[in-house]
Order: sequence, then structure tokens, then C-alpha cells
Amino acid sequence: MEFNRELDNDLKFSSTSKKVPVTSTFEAMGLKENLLRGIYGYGFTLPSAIQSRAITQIISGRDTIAQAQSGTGKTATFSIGMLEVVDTSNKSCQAIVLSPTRELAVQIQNVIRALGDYMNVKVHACVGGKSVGDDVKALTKGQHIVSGTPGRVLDMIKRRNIVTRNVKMIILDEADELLGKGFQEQIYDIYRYLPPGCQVVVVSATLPKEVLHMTKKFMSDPVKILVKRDEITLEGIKQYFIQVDKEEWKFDTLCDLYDSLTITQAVIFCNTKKKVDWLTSELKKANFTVISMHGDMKQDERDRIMNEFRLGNSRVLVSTDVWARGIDVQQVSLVINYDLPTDRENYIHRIGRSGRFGRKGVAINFVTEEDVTTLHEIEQYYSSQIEEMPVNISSIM
Amino acid sequence: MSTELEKLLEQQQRGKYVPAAKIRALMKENDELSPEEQQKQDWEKLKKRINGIVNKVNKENLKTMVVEIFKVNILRGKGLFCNSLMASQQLSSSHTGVYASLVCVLNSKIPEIGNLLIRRLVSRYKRYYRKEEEALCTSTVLFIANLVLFHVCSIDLIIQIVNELMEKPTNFSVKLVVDVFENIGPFIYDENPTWFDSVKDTLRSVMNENIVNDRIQFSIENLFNVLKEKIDLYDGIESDLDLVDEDDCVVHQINLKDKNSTDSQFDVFHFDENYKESNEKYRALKTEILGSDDEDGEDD
Repeated sequence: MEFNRELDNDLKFSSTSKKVPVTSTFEAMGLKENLLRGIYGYGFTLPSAIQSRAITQIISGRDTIAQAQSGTGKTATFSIGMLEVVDTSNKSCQAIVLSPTRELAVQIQNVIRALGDYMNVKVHACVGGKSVGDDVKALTKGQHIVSGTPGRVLDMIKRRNIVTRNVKMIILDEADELLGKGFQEQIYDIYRYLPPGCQVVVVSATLPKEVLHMTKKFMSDPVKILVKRDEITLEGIKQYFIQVDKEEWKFDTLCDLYDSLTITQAVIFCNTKKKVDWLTSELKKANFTVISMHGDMKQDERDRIMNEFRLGNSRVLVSTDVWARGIDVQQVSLVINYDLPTDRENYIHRIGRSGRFGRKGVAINFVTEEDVTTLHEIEQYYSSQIEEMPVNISSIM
Repeated sequence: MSTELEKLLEQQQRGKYVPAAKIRALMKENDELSPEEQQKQDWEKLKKRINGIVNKVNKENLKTMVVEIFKVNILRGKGLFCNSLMASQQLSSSHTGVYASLVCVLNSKIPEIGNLLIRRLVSRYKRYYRKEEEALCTSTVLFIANLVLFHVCSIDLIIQIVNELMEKPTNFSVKLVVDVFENIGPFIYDENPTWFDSVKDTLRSVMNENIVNDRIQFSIENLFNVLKEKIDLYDGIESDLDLVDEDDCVVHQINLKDKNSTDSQFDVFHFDENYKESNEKYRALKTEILGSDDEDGEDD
């Protein structure tokens, strides 16, 4: 797992607090040896831009706001900070991570486990849609870190299955979502249960003004490591469109792309569940190993599908927008918008799936005659150029 | 030719991608093509078919894809196949086993394919190693290692590569050896325990003498921890991928020191004077491999 150094170096950082020092190696951060082992075992060699700035801040105990593009190593940033602070000889819960989706919470659990592989750290994913009994059982055994969705975590705190007395740190991942309407109340409720002086870390790809403002209510003099607003672009992802004109020609075009490019794994987005099902079955007929996911699926089914895809048992994932934020599949080199997203915000989340960790990623948009204006709107909204697909397409991947 | 079609083709000429369906919809009857044009068109089709198959192949559909690939003139397209496969493997090392298994089947029937692939991989390895392209070098060596595991390539090649890497141990070269042993260590142990032990000894002294950095030392230590268990549990190639009887495998003996050509002429179109005959020849070979009840003449 290598970062694209060039791209990573290009990231511009600003901090409203005093200058944030940059620590350029993991060794220099003074981490525990067993954590260092886990970091190397996970495949990291050198810290990314955000990691080299934020980890030491988190370890120092200061409230921290970290904002960076997706794919720059944010999850590992707070995971490493957390693992350094947790004392494994003490069985009590010491850190809580909150995320807006179940997938994300489970994925964070996996990252923490992998990084903490040599530390005997206990991490539990506490998410809705899973048996409460199992949660209680796991929590009774003692968990150093809990990664969960707000509703379930709050529930467990109220039932006293999560004892908050020794919690040193709470992390809000994808904070713009968590502090938005749906979760706000739950977050405040959880915050009330935390001991005074508990460190708060806020992490997100985007941090709108309202959210930043809200953080004032529960953070004290936070150090801010922010990427400037217009820096949140789709850098590192090459975007193309293909004028397919007619809906019926999309499928042929898709097959032709597979005959022309080198594609290891791809995610294809459609706008409706019906379309997902149809496309999945067409692709199966054409001998693709394909798997699909949509909003109606139960949690464990979605987990299973994610896992299958991550293991590479399927090379194509067809999905609706449910598969948007934060999910991290390293091999994905290509995202295809079989349908353009109806919601502009979803565009960046969809195509942010490829090119993670500064890898080269490619996004291809299928555009029918009706879609032309939508495409221009997306271009304008992100002030980003979406080029027409060139003929020597093999050269782009 | 309709004017609209002409316009599209012109756009294509200027470097714009035009959806295949769009052209197909307009192109009703092919104008009479010269034999050379016809062959060229077939060649492009062949290239696409092969690339499509490489993009699709996976554990689950491996057997179907093997049949699909024999259906096209893979003998003519062997250079194209090797290139598609190498590009794909480089991007996705997690599919290396699947690709090696695919090559193993093709190679058992048409040994030229495995031979060409190994020669190309060796030449890439030399180049990447010299230029210290770490990621590319690693994926290339792991592909070779898997071809050894799948009895396409003799173990001597990987021995020579590992020996070369250990001559002057650096962070990069040692990590690469660790990766090879993590990948096919148990197999090497079965085939050549003496050499296996000698490499382990060298790795141990590299670890103890602080020749490499902490990260690499950890990785050696980690290798030693998992290797014993891996050897105890080792039960040959994963059954889903084990498609060819060992006696039917064709093992190529290629040496690191040999000056090998990569036969790049196979990658570009050449006009074939005896096109019909060579197609006939392949058809006969295909029938021999797949049996005669296969629907015939689909692609020639």
C-alpha cells in the first residue's frame, strides 16, 4: 500500500492554530513498538500528509479537527492515534468511534484490529441491525475500543453495557453526516455521558461552516488541520464521459470497455434497484463474476457482499447509491456511472471509490441525450473537467 | 456508407471514443473488405476478445473462461494474451493465483504460451530490478513464483532470482524474498528443503545483523512465525484452481542468465499469406482440445 507521493505532496494544508508540526516517519512519532509492527504489517511504510500532521496531535490529547480528501488515510490516522493512547492492560472501554453507516463502523473495526494486531487490543463493532444480545455478550468481556453507529452506541451506553467512566477519546468520523440532522441529537446525548475532559476528534472529507460552528459546542480550543475548501476536488481521479445517446446502447458500451481496458475490479452505479438487478443478471449471462448491493438488503447480507468483493471473489460490484461514503476497496481502479447520479453530492462519493491512497483511478460516466445538462451541472458544481473518452482508452489505465 | 457513420468514424480518427453500439447500428452491410483489411479487423476483434476474457476470469468461472479462450485463435493471439494478463496481474496481485491457473491449463495444451509469458516476465523482472521499481518488480516476481507453483515454470528460475536478490541484501530485495517465501514457501520446502533452509539462514543473519531497517526485520520475524504453520497445513494447490493433472503439465526450463527474446512481433498485426490454412490448423487443434461437439466456426 503506497501513497502516491507526488499527489500527496500536492495537498495543501492550513491550520488556524499555531503551525502544526510534520512528523515524516512513523518511528519518529514515538509509537509503541507493537503498534509500529502492526502499522508495517498493514503495509504502510511512510505516513501520508494527513497522518504526518494529525497523529501526533491526537496523541498529545488535544481536541483535533482533521479534514482531508477521501483516500488520504484518515481512518488510519485516528486509528493509530487511538491505539497509541489505549492502555491494553486496562480492560475498560477507553475510546469510541462513531460513524454514520454500519459498513463504515465495521470497516473501521477491521482497520483498528489490523493495525493493533500485535497489541492484544479488543475492538468491537456496535451497529444497528445486529443482535443486541451479541453486543451485550461481547461488551461484557471488555472492549478497549468500540466502533459503532450513534443509535446502537447510545443504546448500549444507556443500558450501561458500555461504561464510559474511562473513555479518554471520542472520534466522529464523517462528521458532516454525524452532525447533520439525522444524528445530531444522538451525538449530543452520547457526549453527555462522557467524562469531563474527554478528548474529541472530528474527522471528515468535507466540513461545511455550520458543522464547524457546531463543533464549538463540545470541543475546547481544537487544533485544526484543514484542507482548503476548493482543494476538495477530484484530484487523482480521471473523469471521462461517453456519449452513449440511447439507454439501449449502454450495455454494449460497457462490454466494449471490458474488451478494451485493463480492469481488475470495478464498481458500477445505477440509480434504481430494478436497474441494478437487471444489469447484474445481464452481466452474469456474459460470464462476469458480479455481485450486487442495494438499500433493501439486510445488514449481514451487505456485510457478506462487501467481503466477497473485497476478497476479489467478484470482479464487478453493481450498486445503488447506498454504497457511497467511506468504503475502502483498494483494488478498484474504475467506477462507472451507468446512470448519472440524480443527486450532485453523490457524484463525489461514488467516484471517490476509485483511486484511493493516491492510486490512479478512473471514472467513466455514461451520458444519454437527456443527461447532457446534468453532466454540465456536475462539472460546474465541482469546478472539475470531465473529458470525453479518448479512443486509445487503454492508455488511460 | 451513411454520412452519419462517416462523421462518427471521422471522430474516431480524431481520437474520440465512439461507443461500439453506435457504429454497429449504422454499419449495416460491411463494404467489401480487402483480405488485408479483413485480417486486420479480425485481429482487432481477437485482441478485444482476449482482453475481455482476462478481465472476466475468476475462480468461479475459470473453467468456462478456459473454454472461451480456446475458442479464439489463442495461438495467433498469444502475445496479446500475455500482455493483457501481465497488465492485469500488475494491477491486481490478488488474482495472481487465478491467472497462473489459467496459464497452466493453456500451457498444458499449447506450451508456446507459457514459454512466451515466462520469457516476458523474466525480461520485465530484470528491467524493474535494475531500475528499482519496487511495486512492479514485486508483482512480476510473484507472478513467476506462482507459475512455478502451478508447474508452468521450473523451480530453478525462482531459485536463481532469490539468490540474486540475496547477493546484496537491501531493504527492497530482502522484502521481496520474504514475499516470495510467504507466497510459495511451503512448496519450496517440499521441492528443495536444503535450499529452503539455506535461504532461511541467510534471512536470519540479515535480521540479526541490522542490515535492513526495522520494518523489514519485523517482516522477516513475521515470516518465520507463520512459515512453520503454513508448512504443516500445506496441502498443495488450492483445489478450485488445481485443474491440470501434474503429469500433463509442461514445465519450462528458463534461466535468468539466458538471453531471451520477448518476441514482440506477436503483439502487432501481420498480414498472413496463408490465413485460411492457419485458421484451419487452429480449428483442428481446437477440436482436438475441446472435442468436436463444440459449436464450430464461431470466430474464425
